[in-house]
Amino acid sequence: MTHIDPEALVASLRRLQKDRAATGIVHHLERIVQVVDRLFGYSGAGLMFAEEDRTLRYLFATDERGRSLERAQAVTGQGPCVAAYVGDTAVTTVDVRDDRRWPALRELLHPEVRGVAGVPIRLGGVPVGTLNVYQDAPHEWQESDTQALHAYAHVIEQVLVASMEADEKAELADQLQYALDYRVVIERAIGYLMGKHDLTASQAFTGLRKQARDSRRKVSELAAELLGEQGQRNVANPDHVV
Amino acid sequence: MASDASSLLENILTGMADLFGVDGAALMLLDGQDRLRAIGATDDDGVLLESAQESVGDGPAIESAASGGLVAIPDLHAARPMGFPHVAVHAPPVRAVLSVPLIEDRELIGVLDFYARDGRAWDRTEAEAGSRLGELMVIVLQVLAEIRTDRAPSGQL
Repeated sequence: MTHIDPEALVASLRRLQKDRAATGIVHHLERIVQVVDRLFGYSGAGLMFAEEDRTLRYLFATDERGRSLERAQAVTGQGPCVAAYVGDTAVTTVDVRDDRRWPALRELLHPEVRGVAGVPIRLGGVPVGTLNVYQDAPHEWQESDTQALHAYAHVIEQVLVASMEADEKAELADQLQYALDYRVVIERAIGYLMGKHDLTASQAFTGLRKQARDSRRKVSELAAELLGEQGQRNVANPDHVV
Repeated sequence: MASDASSLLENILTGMADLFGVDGAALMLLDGQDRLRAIGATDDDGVLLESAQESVGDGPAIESAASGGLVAIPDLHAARPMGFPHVAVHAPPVRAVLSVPLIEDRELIGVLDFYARDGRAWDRTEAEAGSRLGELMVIVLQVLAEIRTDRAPSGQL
């Protein structure tokens, strides 16, 4: 027995449905993660999801620094978020650049990624990914920090559950896989913009994201379109894009 | 796992109340006739609070909907304009309320209430956190709206 009036809820949701095109679960997840760093005052946040072979891949991050954190872990297969996923528990580090547990990360990280915390995201009690946050300076994480992150991850889990229980398991999996796959395209588009407009990676990423938001489109779609302008040969080979 | 929209929403409200460190959270949404309706809450006290506001036609959530801004009430039982004693009488355990307008595409869609059973002065940091959680609730509602189908009129997803 819940404390929710289902008829009133459905009536209001029907109102929300009007004149709105579905944007997909990945788009919503991205927006949810964008709220997390503003809610807690962190420098940035990101989300990683596991492939079928349990390899953790990054889905998105709120900025270029966060992207370096997720990319570095995906490349090396180690780091606080990987440990959080594998151990199914919260993992924190005061300064990831000086943490002896993951020596290979230092060279790949943006210098302003320092304090890092990762908590697992679970479906049916099984970890399927991680919610990651970072600070741009060394940070002593408190238990209240990880408790809050667990609570936030729980909200993300509920959103995933909602999507899955709408008999859209296959579609959800497809959308997540699509997003994982399109990280590569986004990387290439950023490289292209950096070369064409003499931008830093951060500037290119921010510009791409802003344009996507302004035109209410997915970053991945915009990135693919951008690369398409260069011809199919370049899309297939990132070396030709940058 | 939760099996319907009602359980999911209650779980999310509970998670938000935990995140915020308050006793509960409650939700009112506009229906098809632009009426603010009580949807539910994390517990009976929250249901009383929302039902009272809907029936009385006044309260922090109603005021928040009208102004489009946050309404912070340290003690609902205080005399007007500091409190809403005519609402409080229907939800006696609730003291402090923070009402957050839910805005989607610049349009009001509802109000999210956070409440505590002890009086408290809501500070600026809490108001900011409430706003962020309001943003989160809008996203959650968009997800629920997208996945809701007419195959399940009782609220089942």
